[in-house]
Amino acid sequence: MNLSLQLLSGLAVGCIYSLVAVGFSMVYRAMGLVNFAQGDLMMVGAFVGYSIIISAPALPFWLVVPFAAALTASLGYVIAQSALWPAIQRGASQTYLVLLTLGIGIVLSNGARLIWGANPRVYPIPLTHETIRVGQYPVPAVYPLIGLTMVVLIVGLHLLFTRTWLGLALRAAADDAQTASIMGVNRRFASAASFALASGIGAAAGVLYAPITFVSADMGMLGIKAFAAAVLGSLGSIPGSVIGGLVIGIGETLGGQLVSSEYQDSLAFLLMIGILLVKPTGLMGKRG
Amino acid sequence: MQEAVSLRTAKESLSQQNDFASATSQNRNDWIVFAVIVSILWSVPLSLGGFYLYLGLAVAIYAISALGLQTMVGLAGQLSLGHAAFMGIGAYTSVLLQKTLGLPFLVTLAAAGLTAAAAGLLMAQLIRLSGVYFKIATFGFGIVVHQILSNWTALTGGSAGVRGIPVISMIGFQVETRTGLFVCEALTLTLIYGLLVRLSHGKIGRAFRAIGQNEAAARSVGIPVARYRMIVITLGCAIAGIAGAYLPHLMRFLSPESFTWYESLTCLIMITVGGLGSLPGAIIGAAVLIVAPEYLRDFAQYKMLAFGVLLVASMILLPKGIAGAGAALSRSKRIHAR
Repeated sequence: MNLSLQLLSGLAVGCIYSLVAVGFSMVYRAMGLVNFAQGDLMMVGAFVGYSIIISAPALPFWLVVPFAAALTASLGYVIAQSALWPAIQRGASQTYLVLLTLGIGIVLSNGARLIWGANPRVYPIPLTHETIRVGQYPVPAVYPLIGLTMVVLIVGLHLLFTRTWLGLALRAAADDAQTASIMGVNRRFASAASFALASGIGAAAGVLYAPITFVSADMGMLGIKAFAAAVLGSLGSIPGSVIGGLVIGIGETLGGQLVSSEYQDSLAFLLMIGILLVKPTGLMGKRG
Repeated sequence: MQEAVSLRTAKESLSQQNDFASATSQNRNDWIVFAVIVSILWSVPLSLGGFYLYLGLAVAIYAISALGLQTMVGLAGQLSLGHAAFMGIGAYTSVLLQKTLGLPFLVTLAAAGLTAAAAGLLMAQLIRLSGVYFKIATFGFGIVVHQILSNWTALTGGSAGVRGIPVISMIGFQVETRTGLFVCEALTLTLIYGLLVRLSHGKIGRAFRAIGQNEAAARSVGIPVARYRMIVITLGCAIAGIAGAYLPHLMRFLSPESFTWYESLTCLIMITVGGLGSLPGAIIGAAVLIVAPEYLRDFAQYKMLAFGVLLVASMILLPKGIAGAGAALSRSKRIHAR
């Protein structure tokens, strides 16, 4: 296959990784929590999008994305308030928190299997099969939409975190919870809001990824590769997550082509381990 | 307020005075629990036989593996998300050596432990990645090993797996019955459990626990943290390799699908449900997670969902697991008896 075509598909998948990784990074910064349920929240978002398409076929696809994101964000809000906050308040160990989010992830992925069935689902919309021509090659029509959404979301997040009271409050609570609470920021709300925001972004990624492949309960595994992306680009840094996602997406597509596609998942992690060994705080990390 | 503070300091100094005495009584308690668990473990499957013997075989394998993970995660706080990969390394090493070179089982068992230890040592090199980074790297390590096992067809037979598992032979004996296999497994489990109880009472065990509770504090009192982390990771992985070496003999078949991410997760659920940091808890957790699904076969599709709910529920309701709840119960009974 052609190299530039490979590069494009790597870029598209990389954008998906980036979005999930941004959510992962945000939660890590706001709650000090390695959220292993992030991938499964993405999967839930993709299924919610599927249900929306089934129940309202007339709704244009670009509107499905925000609806699915909002619904998944409210699920994330509930999870953060009910399961995660008590553990964080108790000062639970990192091991405990990881196991807790792993448990939540298992419940989500198997719950989704019960609700939507074990068979993979394909989005029943024309976009799934449509292609557009870039130069002389046909590429899936959803690629430009993925790129556009990613740019919109990143710019939106940047504006949120720098221009709005909510965004500043979330950042303040993440950086210094005690001082922020003196200034009137409710730490519990800030944690849950960050988690909900991350879930919503993950869901948007899931809905956008679905037309390229299909939706299945095991889709959360893709989210774990997004962790590699977040780590590679430095945990807690949003630009780092974006770069990390693109590096992993392009790296594994090209690597899969050059080495062997069976080892594609391994390549993502080997890339991460390799980069971390050279630069232990990730690509965008500060020294020390 | 002041009274409360003085009461607390009084309590603390009292507990410090009792520390030495309680440490020795804790040691005695550990050995009593050891005796109880080991005797149940030996007597139930052997006396009931049949299906219970099969369950005993499966429980023993995962109990060994969970003990290794408990030492790493529960005692020393080194979370590994790729534990099943090391069982896989042990299983393939042992079976391939038996099949191709015809080595006796005792040798291949040792080789399984050593190879898994070597792989563990390789993974332990990543501890220079701090905290979260190391956890995700262990996950990646698990994925890499699983993909190698599934795709290196020339060596491992690929995803089709290995058939025709040879019979265990050692010191002139041929272990052909399930009873014989169980005796081998139970001996291994008893030995490893005993050694780990002994280890947890000694200097190394104290160092492991100190690192598990607070790495910075452990470093400040002069514990060489990096070396001990390396030791505990290698040890935990070696034990997983030994457990893995028995798995093909139980299933009479070996495939990479026994060593997926879900298996690693199941091992983690075992030690959490049983009680993080408790060695008997690891064995109890393994027993619960192996035996319960066998009796709930009709609900097999809900298995992972139930495991997930069990994990979350036990973390919220029983943060110290079944073993911790049992210990608390016996303690409160003793206080009432007084």
